[in-house]
Amino acid sequence: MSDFIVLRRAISDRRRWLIGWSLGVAGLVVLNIAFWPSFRDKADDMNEIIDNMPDSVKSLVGMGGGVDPFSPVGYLSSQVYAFMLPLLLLIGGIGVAAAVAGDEERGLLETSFALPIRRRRLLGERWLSVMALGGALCLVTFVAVLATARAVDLDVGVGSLWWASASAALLTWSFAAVSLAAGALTGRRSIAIAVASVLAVASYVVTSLADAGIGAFRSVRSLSLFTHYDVLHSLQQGTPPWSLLVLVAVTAAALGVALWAIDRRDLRAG
Amino acid sequence: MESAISARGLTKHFGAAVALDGLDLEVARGEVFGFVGPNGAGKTTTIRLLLDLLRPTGGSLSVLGLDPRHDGPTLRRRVGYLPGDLNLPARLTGRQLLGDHAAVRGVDLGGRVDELAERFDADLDRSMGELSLGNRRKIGVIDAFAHRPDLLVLDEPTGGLDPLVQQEFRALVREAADEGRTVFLSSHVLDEVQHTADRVAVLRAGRLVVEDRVDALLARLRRAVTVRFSTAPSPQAFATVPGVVSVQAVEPDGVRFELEGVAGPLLAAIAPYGPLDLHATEPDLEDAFLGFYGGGRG
Repeated sequence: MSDFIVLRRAISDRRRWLIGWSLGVAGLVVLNIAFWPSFRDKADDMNEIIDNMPDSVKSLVGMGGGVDPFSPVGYLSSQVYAFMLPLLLLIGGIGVAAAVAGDEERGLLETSFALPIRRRRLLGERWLSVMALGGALCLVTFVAVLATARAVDLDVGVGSLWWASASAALLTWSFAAVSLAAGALTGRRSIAIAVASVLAVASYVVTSLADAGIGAFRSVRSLSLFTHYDVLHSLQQGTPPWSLLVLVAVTAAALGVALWAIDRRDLRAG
Repeated sequence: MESAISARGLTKHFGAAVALDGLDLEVARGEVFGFVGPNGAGKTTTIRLLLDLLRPTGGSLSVLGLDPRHDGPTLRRRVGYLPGDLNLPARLTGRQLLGDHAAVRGVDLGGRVDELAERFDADLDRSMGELSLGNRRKIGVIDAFAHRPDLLVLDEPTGGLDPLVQQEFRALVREAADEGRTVFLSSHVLDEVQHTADRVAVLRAGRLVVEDRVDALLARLRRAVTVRFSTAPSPQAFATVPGVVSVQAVEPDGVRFELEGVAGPLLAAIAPYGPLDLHATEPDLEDAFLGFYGGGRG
């Protein structure tokens, strides 16, 4: 009946957003990887600095867990995938997912919800747009990393990069789905952003501190989504199936909550 | 004949606040029905319940013989809706929005959109962020009418429209009624619906205060009429004129009447005194109906 009009319009509305974010993410990726040759050549000096860092700090800046930052995979992990990329992707993904509640709050969905379309269908199509935009950003990252790595002679396999980018996409989708669910439960953009952001930061800190060997966090390590975004493992051996499963399951569960919630409450009038 | 809208004991609470308190309402098919009440009376709440944007706390509701909750898409395919507080995406043009809505409705509007745009002098090709409130509302009117729905639900429809466009809007409502469509028209002033509606219900604090034909209601409506004379006669001269509820002198050279029912006897009574000017105002609904009906609940 509707030929995914809502999905198509949601993507078309974000064309400029996608171009801007793609340029931004690709630019930062290129900039970070471009330093690889000089970083590699100064390995001895840098090693001294890094060795003097406490384990918890090393872990928080993506150099913990026995990563050798002077290996190609270690460098990519610490400089791109461990912190900078997920930070950008999560800001983008959570923002786009929370925009659904934002549109409701501003009354922009009043005429859409009065159309012959089920609320779940409308929210589902908006979710597909979040997945498409998040996936597109990860694809751009994949291409940018691959091209820059080749240009500066950073030796990393296409398959490794593919797994790392796929993990980043799954991580983005899972927190975006949490944001969508919080928005669908409350109809408030600020809550949608706050819930997903707080969870993301908490998850990052828990995983980092657990990896640094701080006992209190080790027991809850496996509950943290960032633990399942094991990018070093992804770059070295591919993403573990268990991690993929956890990220997919959390995304599906949060989406399920969103679809359930949107169908059972009053909609905001704006 | 089956009702277009049938509500029984319809209730809606928002937390502790009672927005609708046991509303009973019957709107016949093909009827133009005015739904009038002061701001906050529960009009928009009722309308949003009709469209399943809100869920009732209690009571039953049937629209075009369907349940808004369970037959949502089937029902809304046959409904055109103009929200009172119309927010449209600023980046889209009217043509894009109307095209999207037609596609979701699965209808081919042919030249209908352009025909309506021409009638309302609406600009379909500028982004809605660039349009004035009145021009955005024209897009909303076209959106509600274009697919020729069986039921039109119009919340404060002429707000922001200039008088010429309001006239065109009324013509469009009459055309819809002539084609057998039902029009549910809400307003906080009787004036907005009295020219188009067959029947009117007045809502206050979530309850129906009065429901009647427009002409019968107008006949009972109390309004203020101020007349200026070159030399004002004594107010006492009009005390017994049929329909005059009260009368008082106003400076300079004027008399203010509170009038109920038809104006003929009063006009005949003032004519011999050579009135210079006459000004009639519709009092607000609270004064007009609620005082008249023994203050409603209040």
